[in-house]
Amino acid sequence: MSTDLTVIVTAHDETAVCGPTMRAADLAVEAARGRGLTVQTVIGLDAPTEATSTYFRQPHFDHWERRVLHERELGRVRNALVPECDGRYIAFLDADDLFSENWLAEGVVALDAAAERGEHAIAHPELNVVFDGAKTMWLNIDQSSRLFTPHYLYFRHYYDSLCMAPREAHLEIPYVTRDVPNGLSYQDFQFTIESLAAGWRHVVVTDTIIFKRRRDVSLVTESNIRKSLVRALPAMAIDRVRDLGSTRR
Amino acid sequence: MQERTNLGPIMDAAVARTKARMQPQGIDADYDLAYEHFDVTHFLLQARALLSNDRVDPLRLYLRNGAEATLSPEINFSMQAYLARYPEKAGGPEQSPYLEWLKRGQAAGEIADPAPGPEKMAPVLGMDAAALVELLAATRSGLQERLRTGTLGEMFARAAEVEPLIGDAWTETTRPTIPPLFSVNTVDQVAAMHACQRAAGFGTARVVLVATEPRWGGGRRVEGHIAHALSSHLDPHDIVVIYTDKSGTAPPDRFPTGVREIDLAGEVDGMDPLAAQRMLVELIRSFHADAVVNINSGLLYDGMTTYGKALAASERLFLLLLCNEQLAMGNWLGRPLRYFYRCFDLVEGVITDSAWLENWLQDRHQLGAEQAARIHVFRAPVDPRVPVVSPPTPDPSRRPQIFWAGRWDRQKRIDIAFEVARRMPDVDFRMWGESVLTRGHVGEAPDNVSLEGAYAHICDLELSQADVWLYTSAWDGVPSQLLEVGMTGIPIVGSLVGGTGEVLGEDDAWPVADLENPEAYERAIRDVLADQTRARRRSQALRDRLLRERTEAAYSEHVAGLLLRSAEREEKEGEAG
Repeated sequence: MSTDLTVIVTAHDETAVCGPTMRAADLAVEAARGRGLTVQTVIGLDAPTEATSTYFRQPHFDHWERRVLHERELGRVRNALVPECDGRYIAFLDADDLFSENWLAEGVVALDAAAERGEHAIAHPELNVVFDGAKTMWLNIDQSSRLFTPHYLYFRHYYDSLCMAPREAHLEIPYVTRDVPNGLSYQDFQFTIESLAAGWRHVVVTDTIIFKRRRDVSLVTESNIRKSLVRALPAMAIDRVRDLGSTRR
Repeated sequence: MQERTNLGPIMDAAVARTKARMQPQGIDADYDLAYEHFDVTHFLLQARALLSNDRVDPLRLYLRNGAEATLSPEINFSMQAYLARYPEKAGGPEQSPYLEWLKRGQAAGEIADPAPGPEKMAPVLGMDAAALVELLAATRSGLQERLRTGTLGEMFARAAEVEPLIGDAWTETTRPTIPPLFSVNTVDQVAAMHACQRAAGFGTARVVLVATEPRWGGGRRVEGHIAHALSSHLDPHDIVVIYTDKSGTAPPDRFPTGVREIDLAGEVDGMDPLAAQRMLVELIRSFHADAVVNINSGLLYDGMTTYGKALAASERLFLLLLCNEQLAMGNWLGRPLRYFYRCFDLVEGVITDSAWLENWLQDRHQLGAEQAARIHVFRAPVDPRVPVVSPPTPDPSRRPQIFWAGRWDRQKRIDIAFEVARRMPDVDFRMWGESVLTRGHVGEAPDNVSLEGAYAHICDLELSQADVWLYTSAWDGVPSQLLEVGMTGIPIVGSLVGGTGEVLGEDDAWPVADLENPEAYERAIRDVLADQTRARRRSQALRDRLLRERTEAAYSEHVAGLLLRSAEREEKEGEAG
């Protein structure tokens, strides 16, 4: 496989907000190519609104491959796009977020280094910065850190849904479908737990950042999200949870 | 000289200007000590109004605010966190508690770290609090340094050029959240989860009983009966009892040896209610049990209201419902009224202690046959080892004794018992139980009533002196007291309410339907006293019937059949979906 990395931006009803997103993505792709990496760039349009389609049809996005899907769900979109991608590694980006200019290049370096150590790794940026409608900042914690405890994963996800992973990780552990009416959600959270249980190492890439744009969210939506849980997973059973993350592939 | 940072030249210049107008060294030793540690950039990022103020000395301002200071002088010190642990430092001799910490507190190991709950989280991470605080401080300081002058900050600044709104988040670099110390609630949840799982020996369970509290007294109670019933089908270690609403300890004989009891109530004491609900739900799910039985747990009912569908997706949930109760105003409230309809569609089944409550639920909710089939009556077993008590030796000079026992609350109708006693001055009434009512509620006890105080178990009473057992409750299910007394052969005169009719038959006891009428109780008691031999024969028939109808073997089969997953059932469920 000759492509090192596929970058996938997913959009549904976003338009103007994607300006900074796409600019940041282009800068990071350019930086990665500058380091000698081959990068495939894909825009995944999931059941796009007319406005979103029009926005992304603009010629200045012609250097991105456009794929239109009708999954109406982020996890399924990712699952559908991954098999069609060329990259050894896949990096996702939601349409209203940004990542730091060095994320793609350093992420590949980190995953290559892990592979050389014989590890199967999934990479996360070091810092998660929420901006715009709300402001906050938190650290992503490397699985090898003394601050990592599987018990945290009963209540919170250590990482954002943005990650860079070998293509095979996504093929092996596809995202599950959300079931919000029944209070089961957090596909990315579940992906982390299932991949940890399968022996994937979750590493944090020093000096890289994801910037999460917090837009207006309805109180009803927030409330429903708060009432949701990750599915009950065998790896989180009381007799197994302490071993989560200790499996080596 | 102006330092160059990733914050940009305008901010750097403002910091330089501020530093230039701060008090020179050598005037005030306290100020000089604080100055060594005071981080001007950090402070100004929190107090942006000071950036355009050319007169204020930020450190002087900070020290002058003393214990009231809300901003932090350096990234690893929080006045609020410090004073929450050591409130006495607020009134110390120093101008600011910060000085107290710098001079003595820090060296003494006092914690002023801004992270929530390092003491609680440290054991989960396998370290002590001091080591965790040190790790957090190193992490935070390193992050701050790299943001200001390293690649990390350079990336931040470059992104802010692409999206200027990001630049407004520079303020957040003063208070980075470091998981797993994400928030007070999260720390509380993680620590409580770890503690509860440790208490359970990090082992799965086949049946999880979720009870309000480890109620002392009253024998096995329903949770004990269920555990004993299951113990002939599985290792008692596979049963976990979680107390959710009130801490305490259960009597040693309530459960078979090996049953694990978890004091979740103690672990979630003071926790945000929603956080506690989530914690309980996650703990339950972690056991991967065959069945989860809610025995009046308020926290689980609340949790099911919030997370019911998600919980039901993986758990076989059962509600164990006992009777409603009548409030002082006369209206009725209780778990059956409030939660049956809320939870019925979520659960595998509902368990009651009486056919009466089963029928009441079916009728109230107008259930069809298929739905009604999900309601199950667990008929509590009697203990065949309880011996028949010999009646008092006939003696014309002896005054008959009527025994009464129970919690002194409104349900038990002490007033009726007293009135019966007043109508029978030729008889003595001996009453046991702890009072939760004032004398004003029940009135003065008549002279022929002796108040015997608290009791641990009915068997501890002087039963050989009892001519009649009187029971006056205004509502109930199938009370264990009647099952226990029924086995002794002592004639029972008791109110016919709720499920008591499932114990007190017309042919083998003296049920009183006219609850409010003391004369009706008197008539029944006098009927017993008129012919003790006949009365004891009738009571023996009650014992015989209870032994037939309420065997431990039948109860055990019923409980295990319902709660435990059989291989056959799992196969069916697998085929269904």
